[in-house]
Amino acid sequence: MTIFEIEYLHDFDGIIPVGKLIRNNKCLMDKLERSIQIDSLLAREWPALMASLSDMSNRLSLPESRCRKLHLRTCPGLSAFELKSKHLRLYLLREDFTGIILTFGGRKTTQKSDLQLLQKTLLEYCQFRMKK
Amino acid sequence: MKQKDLYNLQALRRQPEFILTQLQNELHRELTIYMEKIALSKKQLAEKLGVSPSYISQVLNGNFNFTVLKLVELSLAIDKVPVIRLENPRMEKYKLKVEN
Repeated sequence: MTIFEIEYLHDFDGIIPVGKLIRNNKCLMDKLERSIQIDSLLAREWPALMASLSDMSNRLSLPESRCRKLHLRTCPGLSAFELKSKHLRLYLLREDFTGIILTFGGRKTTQKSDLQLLQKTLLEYCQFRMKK
Repeated sequence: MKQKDLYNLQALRRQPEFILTQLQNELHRELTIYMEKIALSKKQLAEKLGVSPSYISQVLNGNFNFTVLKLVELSLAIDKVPVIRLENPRMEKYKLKVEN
């Protein structure tokens, strides 16, 4: 059975809490985080994504070019969003009473497969929530 | 970028891209509110400001990266005054909250 946990990021002190999704003891953000540490181009764009995330956690609206709501199959009280910079995409969930959950991210070039993975993860997370 | 700084707001607030993005997001919000308040289209606002509609689109998309003069002109045109203050990043408001 797939088990999910949220690892909260206490630096984000906005109105809405922000955390990372942990799936079976593995953080899905790890891959992107490693890429950012070795790729200077991605490292330059990362603060822009975090700026938008910080605004989002303070309930501030963002341009659609920076944040778009994804129309994926989901369950009540859960929505999916894509935060964008020039080359980076960050996929997150917004859940009532839980907050903003960072799932994983990738490059613009891997967007299609990343969205398929997000849909799969989202449905798994919904199933986990229902069983809880 | 170090792993420990990836989500550290104190460190991120010293990155130009972080500051620029938050300024651009703020301009997007103010311009959107203004346009909704007085029911102006992009084209009408562009005419009022004497700029092209694509310039307005850029600002609304969060891509404003023009001169300080343009920022001042745009702000005044939407009944706002920009306040630019250079602050010490070590000030209390930028410090990390430490939880017990």
